Amino acid sequence: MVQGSFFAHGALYFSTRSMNILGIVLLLFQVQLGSLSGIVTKPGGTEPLSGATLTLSPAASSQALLPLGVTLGPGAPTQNPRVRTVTSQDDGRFVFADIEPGEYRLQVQSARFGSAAYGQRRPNGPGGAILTVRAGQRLSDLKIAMVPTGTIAGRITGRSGEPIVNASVQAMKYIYQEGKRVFSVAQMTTTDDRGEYRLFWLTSGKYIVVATPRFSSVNMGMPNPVKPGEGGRADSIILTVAPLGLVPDVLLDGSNLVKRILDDGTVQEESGTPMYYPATIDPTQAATVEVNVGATVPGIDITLGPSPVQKIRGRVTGLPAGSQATVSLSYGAQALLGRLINKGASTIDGSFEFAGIVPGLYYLAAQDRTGLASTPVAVLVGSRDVENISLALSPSMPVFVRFTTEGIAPGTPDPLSGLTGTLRADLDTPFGIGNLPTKTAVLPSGGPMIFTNVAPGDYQFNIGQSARENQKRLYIKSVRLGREDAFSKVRISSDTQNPTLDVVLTAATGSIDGAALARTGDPAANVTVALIPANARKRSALYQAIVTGSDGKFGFKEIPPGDYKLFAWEDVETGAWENAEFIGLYESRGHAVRVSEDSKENVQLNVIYNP
Amino acid sequence: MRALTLLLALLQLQQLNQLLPFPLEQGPPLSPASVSGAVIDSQTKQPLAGVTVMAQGSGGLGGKLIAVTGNDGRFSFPSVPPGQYAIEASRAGYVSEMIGNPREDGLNGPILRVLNPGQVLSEVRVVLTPGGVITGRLTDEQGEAVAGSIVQAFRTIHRNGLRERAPVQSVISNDLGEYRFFMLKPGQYTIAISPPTGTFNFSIPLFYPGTIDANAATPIDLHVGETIERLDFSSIPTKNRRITGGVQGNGTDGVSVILSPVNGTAKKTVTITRDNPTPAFQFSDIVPGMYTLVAQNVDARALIPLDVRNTDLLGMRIIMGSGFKIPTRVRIEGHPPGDDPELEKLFFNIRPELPITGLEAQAYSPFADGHFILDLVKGDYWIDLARPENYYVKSITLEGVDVLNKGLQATNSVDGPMEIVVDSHVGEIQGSASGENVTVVLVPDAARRNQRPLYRSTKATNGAFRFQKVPPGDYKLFAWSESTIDNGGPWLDFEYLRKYEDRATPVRIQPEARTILDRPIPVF
Repeated sequence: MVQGSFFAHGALYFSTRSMNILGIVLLLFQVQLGSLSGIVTKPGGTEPLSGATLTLSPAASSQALLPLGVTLGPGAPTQNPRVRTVTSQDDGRFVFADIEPGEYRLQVQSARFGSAAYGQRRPNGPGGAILTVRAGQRLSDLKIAMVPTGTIAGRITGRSGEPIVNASVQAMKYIYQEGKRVFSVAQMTTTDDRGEYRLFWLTSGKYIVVATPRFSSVNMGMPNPVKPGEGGRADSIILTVAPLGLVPDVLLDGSNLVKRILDDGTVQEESGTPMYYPATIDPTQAATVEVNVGATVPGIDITLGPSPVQKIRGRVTGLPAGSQATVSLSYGAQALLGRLINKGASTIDGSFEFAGIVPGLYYLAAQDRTGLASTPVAVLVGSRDVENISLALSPSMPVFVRFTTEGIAPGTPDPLSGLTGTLRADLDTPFGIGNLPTKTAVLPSGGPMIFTNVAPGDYQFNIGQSARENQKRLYIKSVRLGREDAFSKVRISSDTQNPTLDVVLTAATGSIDGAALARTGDPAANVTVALIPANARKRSALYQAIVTGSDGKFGFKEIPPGDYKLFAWEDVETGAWENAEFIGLYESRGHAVRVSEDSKENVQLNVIYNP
Repeated sequence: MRALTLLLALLQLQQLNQLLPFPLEQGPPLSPASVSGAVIDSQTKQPLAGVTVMAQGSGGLGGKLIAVTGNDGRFSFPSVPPGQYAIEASRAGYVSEMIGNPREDGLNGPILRVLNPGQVLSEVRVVLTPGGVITGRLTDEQGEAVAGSIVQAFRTIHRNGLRERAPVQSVISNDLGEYRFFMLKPGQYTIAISPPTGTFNFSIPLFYPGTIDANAATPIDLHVGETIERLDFSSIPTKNRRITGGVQGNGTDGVSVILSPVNGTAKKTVTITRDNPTPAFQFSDIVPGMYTLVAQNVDARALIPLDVRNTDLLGMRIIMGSGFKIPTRVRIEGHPPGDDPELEKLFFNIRPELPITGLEAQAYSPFADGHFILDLVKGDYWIDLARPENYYVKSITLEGVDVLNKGLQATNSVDGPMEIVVDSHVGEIQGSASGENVTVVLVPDAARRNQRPLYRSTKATNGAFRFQKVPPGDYKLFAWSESTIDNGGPWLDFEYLRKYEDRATPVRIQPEARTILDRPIPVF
């Protein structure tokens, strides 16, 4: 019955693998094909859904988690001939016939209800279960229900109760970035002439709701809603790195800045700043709105008032008489579309002021022409002016970096050629990290790497991950400043003499294989395994995470040598393990492991179940 | 003009300063302008409070100024940096208005006011019209709400004598399937939705009450401040159709296969080459309805009407190069027979009677001996002279039939030839209308109304008008005041013209002569 199909698949397989095998050999390997069938239902799980597209794709045994902000559309085109698609019939049923034995993931996509994966723990969560098809096996009665989604509804008004028309309203979720909370836009819409809005297709969970007035005569229209399971919006990749949560480009490019003529003829500058539910411009004070499966949460009303812009005032200290200092202010958020929001002010007497500042996170630093510089300072601007910022000038200095390499075969062309390094300010920020002030340097041939005019302060040293062809990737093994360990933090103080970083780079990495075990002692499939540095928690590059396959196995490759801890969670938010508070809860349950050059560790992990 | 250039340069300098750490040196500031006025409600004629008046410097320069009207409806910008501004008055529930003269093309868009240094613009009067609302609900064949569909409102406008649909607002149906258009100008609207289709977001629009045929859309007349509810789309198809097929015959290289709804402008295109596997083309997620399929490349075309209301159309075969051939001979009145280089300068447009997306007008130019061969797919056509301007088509006949005024019905190849005569002996006419800002239209007599090149229109700002290079014959002059619907309306529509016919002024144009009207023509 499956003979004919086998020939088609088998012939292709062998002709590509080994051209010279005689056709007759094929007959010796009669692989029995399997099949897979089931039903797709609408949200609610009872009514069949017809016309949905089901995609069956081969699964790797474990699945690496993508870095923050990177999402792959479920319908991403693929050249893999083993990826198959079918459409559900009128009764919601679907059949994949003649399936080669193997491991698969099954996804469904509907124009109406978005996408879902078979066995997925939660929408937008990792994975989806792996289906193992054995030779001749017929998996039937698979059930995939589309996810019932919820709605947040409300009204946006002005101070006198008048409706605000065409205001932008977003539902955002907290996610992690380098262990800091930031926002990801889950859904967005605009208000109608009554000021009303409905944010729908929300998967269950907690949301922050924010409204932004739009001072524009151009009606930008209603944005297309994100379908459930489609992941974040494309633009959320930018928005998620905004330290103050959502920073629409109207704020960054100043197009939402207006001058309001008040009744008495005075002029007030306003920023059209986002207002978070219930009534705050500070995202850390925003209330969460909980949406249960399929529920509507009405009455999430927000009042938008005039949002005056603020001033930042302060003093530069240590400025020699007759000199002039430059104070630079940069917006904390990622530069959007290449636009960097920078302002500069010069001062002779040491005092400085920046006016017209939109609430948000900023970085301030000062320097003069004689080589004095201040440590960068993070400033969070809220609903009032920020006063008394002090920028203390002290002599800046060059920081030298010397490299030694390990694990590189003799005769390899200079592995350090064109290497770039960064020295990023290590500042404590309340929310996200954004666009931290960073110095960049290139390693010149025949000399040390030099970062010029470095002000005293704390930094983190990293190397650029330039894609150098045919070369093994280099990892930082250690960083020392004199006798101090500077791997996590490079501390430059004003009395440091000729600061020189000794950096050991290695191309020799280790690997860890292992299996996650459930409470029962059975292999735990589809759980998240995270590898985190034992000590250097601030070095994001050392973190890795993966989802186990159906056999519960996982594998990490190319691990820079060092001490690590391994955790396996049944269900965890991506990136939560970089958050100190979160990991503090589980610290004692981590499995310590030391990775050295070319080591191959094998680890068994007990899964941590959520309370 | 020079002052303005300087201004713009200064404004740019100011913007540059924001990007630089140190401010650049600037000249002394120019004395500011001021703007003030009042807003009233078009219906009650009473002052309107709470209106936001926003002055926005053009090109992103100069920033934005906002003033809100008080109970007296008054607003004031005491100090405005000189420059070009778009000034708009808006209030929830009213149609937003730009301050200034309306744009000539009748479309929305910024109207720029130049404010010179020291200029005082006072007593600006703004009239806001209560906006209309159109709401409805989208449900599918099972009666379930259709969420997340794009719903568009088109306003009927008139341009160059033709009726057009201009998109004015686009919204998304919510989780209850509801949509709401608001703050709409009074006028005639059509509503269309883009049904969700498969994995692709693009789909053929479905016009209210549920047709892909734009001509079958129900027009909705919206009056000032009116709310029209329950314009529901029910039974939105959830099962879409599929069309597949291949192309055969001559010239199948580089063929574009274009699918478009009957009378619609939306289209889906597949380009195929000879190397394509079969079936060569495939359209999936097609909303059920009547379509036209056009296949064409540089040297051949084919046209097939399709009925995909109830069934998929799979495995179709399109035969390329199956067009009809019509030999044609052109001559210029008064020129001797034989080769004539003037003939090579003529270009004729062959325009399908019904606009079919993908089947645009074809241009033909004769050889020096005046002959060319039309190659057409089945259908009705009109023939115009595209250029040069100093000629007009005097007659077109095919086997004794007047093609110029009756059109060409291509149903089979003919031996012909079709005879075209062009002439260069034209006349002109001048006169005046009793009014200002009048749209004057010269319309040919009833027998020649199908000849579009004979229509002329002009905007007579002070009442005077003049039409030159007019082919001789009998005409009528129509004049519409500005208050009549946009730009004089759809005068290429016979029904519309009929309403004004008996008030129009008959005139005769003589070759090589100027007709001067001694009395002003009446204005409607």
